[in-house]
Amino acid sequence: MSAIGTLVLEEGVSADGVVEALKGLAERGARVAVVEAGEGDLREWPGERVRWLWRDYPLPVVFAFEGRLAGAEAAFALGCDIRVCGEGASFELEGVAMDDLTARRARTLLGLEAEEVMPARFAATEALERGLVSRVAPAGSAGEAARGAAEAVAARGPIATRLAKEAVWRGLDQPLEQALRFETDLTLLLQATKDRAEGVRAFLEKRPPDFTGE
Amino acid sequence: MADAVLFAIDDRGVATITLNRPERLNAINMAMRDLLWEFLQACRDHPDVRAVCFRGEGRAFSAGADISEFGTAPSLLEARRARHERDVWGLMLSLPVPLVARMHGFCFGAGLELPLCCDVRVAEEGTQFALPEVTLGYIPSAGGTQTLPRTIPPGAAADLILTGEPVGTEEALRWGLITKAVPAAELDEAVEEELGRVLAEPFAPKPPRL
Repeated sequence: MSAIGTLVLEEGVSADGVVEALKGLAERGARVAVVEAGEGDLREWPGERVRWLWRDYPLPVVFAFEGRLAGAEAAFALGCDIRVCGEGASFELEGVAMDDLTARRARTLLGLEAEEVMPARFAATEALERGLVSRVAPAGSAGEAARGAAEAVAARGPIATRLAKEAVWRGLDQPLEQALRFETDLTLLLQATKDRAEGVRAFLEKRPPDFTGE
Repeated sequence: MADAVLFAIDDRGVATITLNRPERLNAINMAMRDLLWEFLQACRDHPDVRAVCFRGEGRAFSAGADISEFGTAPSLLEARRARHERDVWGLMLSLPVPLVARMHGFCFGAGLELPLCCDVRVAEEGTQFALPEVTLGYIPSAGGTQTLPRTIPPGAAADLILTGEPVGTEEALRWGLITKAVPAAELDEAVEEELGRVLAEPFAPKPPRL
């Protein structure tokens, strides 16, 4: 099993099918998942599945798309941790089944207050400006750029990246004071891992770390 | 040897806190944390202080925490108690006066988390910003996992925190990680301008972030 698990979203695949495939990647030891938008659209991607992606799925997920991203694939993308697109791509929120959980996630990512209107569509440059995507690659290279980001994540301590994902997304829902205590506790939990000791040792010995996930 | 953190208050009421361990790129060690704690309490308690400016001596603001001291805490529970009792970053977030960071060179790890507790961040063009803790099997622990997604779009914050990769001033400006980027020769002037601006505002205690 490679450290990077890859999925391509094919037309008509159900939300449950994608969830099972993602769980399979985690069970087989992947440290990060890359999901690429495919041709056509998925079947529905309901809000509790979007929330499952950011809140409950342990691995960081990098999402790559080219062209027009809309509908269920756009809803899926909102649940991922890192979004990458090609130049000329667009992210369309109009037409996404905006149940409460999906709308809340979109608002979180865009930093929108409750009374602000959700924009319908973002061109790649605008999506980058608003942080809806964090990387824009030359047209046709979004998948490559996503794998580049995934390789960076896969080279890090796997417990650290899982807890970092949890710290960011679960921390955002907490008042700042509580969120800072949460970060401290996750930090202390990591202090008890072999990976953290290895990371520090490797740094001081000026060699690449060998993380085992323990 | 000079103190690793310097503290001065000028006649305008601007307190300047200077990280002063340039030979280690201002890597923040426990002695520096103790000094920061002391000086921040002085900023809180001294009635003349109306703004605080953070800067770093040498070629970087700060390359982060001093990793050579990692793992020296007596026990996890002792470390937890110590952090809660001497919460340097929490104290920064609850100071009632504006905090301005003068950033240059590298702002890595705690060297970025400290400015994230400030209200205004001015950087020299070409400065590199990163939260590289995951490269050490660790996560940001000076508030960065919480302050970064509350400062820049959370998806961009997740990218930085999960990959540990650095970004430059262009990305930092785009996402609001810094307030302003200026050429090296204009950095002091730009910081002065920001200080002048916050001092010109009628004094009112800042609503605490904590």
